[in-house]
Amino acid sequence: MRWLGLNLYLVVIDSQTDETGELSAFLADAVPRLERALVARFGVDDGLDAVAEATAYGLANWDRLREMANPVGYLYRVGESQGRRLGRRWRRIDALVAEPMTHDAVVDIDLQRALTRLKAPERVAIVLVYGHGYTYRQAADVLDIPTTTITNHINRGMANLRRLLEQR
Amino acid sequence: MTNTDIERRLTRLGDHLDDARANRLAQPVLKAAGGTAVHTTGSWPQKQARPRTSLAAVTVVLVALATAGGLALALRPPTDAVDTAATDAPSPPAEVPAGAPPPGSIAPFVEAPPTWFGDPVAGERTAGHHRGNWVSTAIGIDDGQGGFQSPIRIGVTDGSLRDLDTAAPTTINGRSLRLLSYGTDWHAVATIDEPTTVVSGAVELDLLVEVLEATRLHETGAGFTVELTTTPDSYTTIVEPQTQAIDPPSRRTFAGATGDIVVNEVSEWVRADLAAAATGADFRPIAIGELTGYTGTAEANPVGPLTFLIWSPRPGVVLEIDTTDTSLQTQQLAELAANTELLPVDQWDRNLEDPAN
Repeated sequence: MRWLGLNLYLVVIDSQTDETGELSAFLADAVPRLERALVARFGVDDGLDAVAEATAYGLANWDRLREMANPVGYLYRVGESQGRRLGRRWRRIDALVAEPMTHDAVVDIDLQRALTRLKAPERVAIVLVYGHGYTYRQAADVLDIPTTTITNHINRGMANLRRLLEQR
Repeated sequence: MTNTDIERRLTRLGDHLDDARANRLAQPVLKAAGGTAVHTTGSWPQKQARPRTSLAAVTVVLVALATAGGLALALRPPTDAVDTAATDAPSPPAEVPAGAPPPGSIAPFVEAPPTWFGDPVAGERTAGHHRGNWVSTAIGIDDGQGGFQSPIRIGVTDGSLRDLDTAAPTTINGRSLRLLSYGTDWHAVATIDEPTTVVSGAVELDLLVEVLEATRLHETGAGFTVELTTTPDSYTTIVEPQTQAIDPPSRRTFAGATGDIVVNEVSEWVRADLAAAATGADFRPIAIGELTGYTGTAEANPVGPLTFLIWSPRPGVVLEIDTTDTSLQTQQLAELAANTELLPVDQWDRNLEDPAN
């Protein structure tokens, strides 16, 4: 038996399934990236649920996943699909996170509302690159799209974001 | 508005999202720690309870990581709060009992768990909330029956608390402090300079600040200790200054099959009453065989009311049962506690190894 603590989730992995530790290492690397991307996509609540669903899928399909060129990107798309199913309320959500972490932390609700009015791929790309400091290549990798597409999302998204913010 | 302005705001949002993400995942831990982390807005308390059927087979919700130490303030107190005049310093703090096993070297185990516990699951929880050397004391309102209400924990350290590294500075009563709040109930305030003082509890923020203002950190020959020059009205001391044990980064957890009950080793607190006080929740004594444990319930918990039972089976060792199963009676938890033994981690690993492998 091997134990891998992934935040709240305790993933119990049969040692025969993960004899080499490859799966454990993969999850330790993939889950934080999936969390950031899917939170950007669906907000904190549905985003983290989508990560849980994607992780479960990854564990159940590890043999297939391990052969893929970009398993993290594949799981992002799994999570995105699950998140759409989980998050039918998304259209009513106007913030990625609605509350301050500390009393004096500022919730930039104008920015969040503007972000949620962008197309989802633009929002995710912008949050990963500018919010979390990803390179275009890193963002493209986790989203499983070409770097040129990330560039387009960023350029269009930032222009739209600026327009939305200036309208307020 | 320039793109630079927007990029700066996006950077702050990214930090905020990371904090929210960590907090969302840490909430049950915080609740286990004291039933103090109350989420009052948003929809996730309901969402937390949503079944994750596809995940259930492979994951266990780790409902408890540690007592209130799960909250981390990496904050440093003003230098003028440090009394370096060792000559008038109070007595040194109580030491960790000689011969106490280091936290993490042992783990709780129940040979034959009751039916309601289900098949035990080997778990590992993230710990390591306390860095550096810590001395803590606790105060509360004596309920006259051996328990305490509205406890407040006061900790001083030359290190930090991990999860509050990102707590933003704020000014309270003209003093620059770090502050973290969960919901409207639970707060932790901490000084900014080294060494650091952290005061936490599920009480009014003003009361915590009052306690912080009354906290003095004294250097002693071998280290430091903490003193309260005054205590709030109705408050008495629960635990005199106590040196805490090391808090290694991970600990084994004996978990029930459904993940809604766990038995943790939380010996970094050294004493059961200190661990109970650090939860911030009201607690009362309960007999565990010939031992005395402390139990309480956090009512407003994102994953539902969470009941804890904390006891010390031997000097310097502290164990904690946390459960969100409201159908369980405290006496059932006490019986589980009475049947809990301590095993060296290598033996614990062997006992919980999947027999199929």
